[in-house]
Amino acid sequence: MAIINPLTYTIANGDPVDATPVQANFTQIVQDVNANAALVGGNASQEFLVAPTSNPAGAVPLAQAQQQFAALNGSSNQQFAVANATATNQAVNLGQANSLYAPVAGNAAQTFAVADATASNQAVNLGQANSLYSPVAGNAAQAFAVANATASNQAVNLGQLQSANVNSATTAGRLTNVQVTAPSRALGTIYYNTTGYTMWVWVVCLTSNSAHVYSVVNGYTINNGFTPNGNTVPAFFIVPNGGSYQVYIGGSGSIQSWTEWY
Amino acid sequence: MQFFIDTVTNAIHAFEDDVVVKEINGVYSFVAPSGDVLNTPTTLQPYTLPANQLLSGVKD
Repeated sequence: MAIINPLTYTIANGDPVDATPVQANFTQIVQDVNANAALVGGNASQEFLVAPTSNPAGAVPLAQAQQQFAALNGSSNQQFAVANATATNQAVNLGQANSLYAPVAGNAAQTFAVADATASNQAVNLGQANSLYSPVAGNAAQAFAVANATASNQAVNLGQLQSANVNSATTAGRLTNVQVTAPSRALGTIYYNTTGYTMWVWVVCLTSNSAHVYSVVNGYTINNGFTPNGNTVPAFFIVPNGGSYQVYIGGSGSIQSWTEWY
Repeated sequence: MQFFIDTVTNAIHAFEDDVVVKEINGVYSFVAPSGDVLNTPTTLQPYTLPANQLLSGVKD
């Protein structure tokens, strides 16, 4: 489109110049420029036309822009193609996303592979879980190892349990028929069982004049009896570990034998 | 054997040689080899057994 239309007056060489035609031409030039060139300079309506172009440096009309690029701005069909991303800052198309990430989101097959975890923050695959942890859940073999428990809230292994039972039974009184022959024992003296085991004590006293034989364990006194005409009187009692024990005679008498088992 | 006498009852208390005797402010305590503290009167004092205290008829 021409901006300046052909001038009204033509002035040739040798023609006398009058102000009227010259002024008229200038006036037309001003009017045409204002009317036509102002549109290109950015008027409000911007209604000047631009033809579709393939020139990368050329202006693109609205229709061409909408056809080719509106999809990028979120059209309803979104059918513009996106190549497979090859860098972390590139868009990923649906096919690429499905092939790479859909299994992770939990598809029905769940056939995506997970390598054996080697750190505490990694996923464990089924094979690794079975090999490592299913025994703990109580398999038939129960061959998983349990270290000796050292706190009240820990599992006890069989060896520890058996040892504890044996120790408990031993502490209660193993009675290995060890006869104490020393040190000496005396009537009326209070002794203490520091063997670490329950002690069984058998004392035989020689008494006279119906003297009574008493045994005292942890302060509790037992009358073990007497004989009317002077004879041997046995005293048999059990002393718990750490307990005190004593034998004395109410009357006259002496020890004939003093034997302790623990 | 280690002997002590109860100053209240005059009863003699005898402890095996492997019992550890501890004394704090004149009060004696007795610890068995197992580490257990024996339940003894607080009025025990060391006692030397007279030579004739070991009665006859004791089985050694």
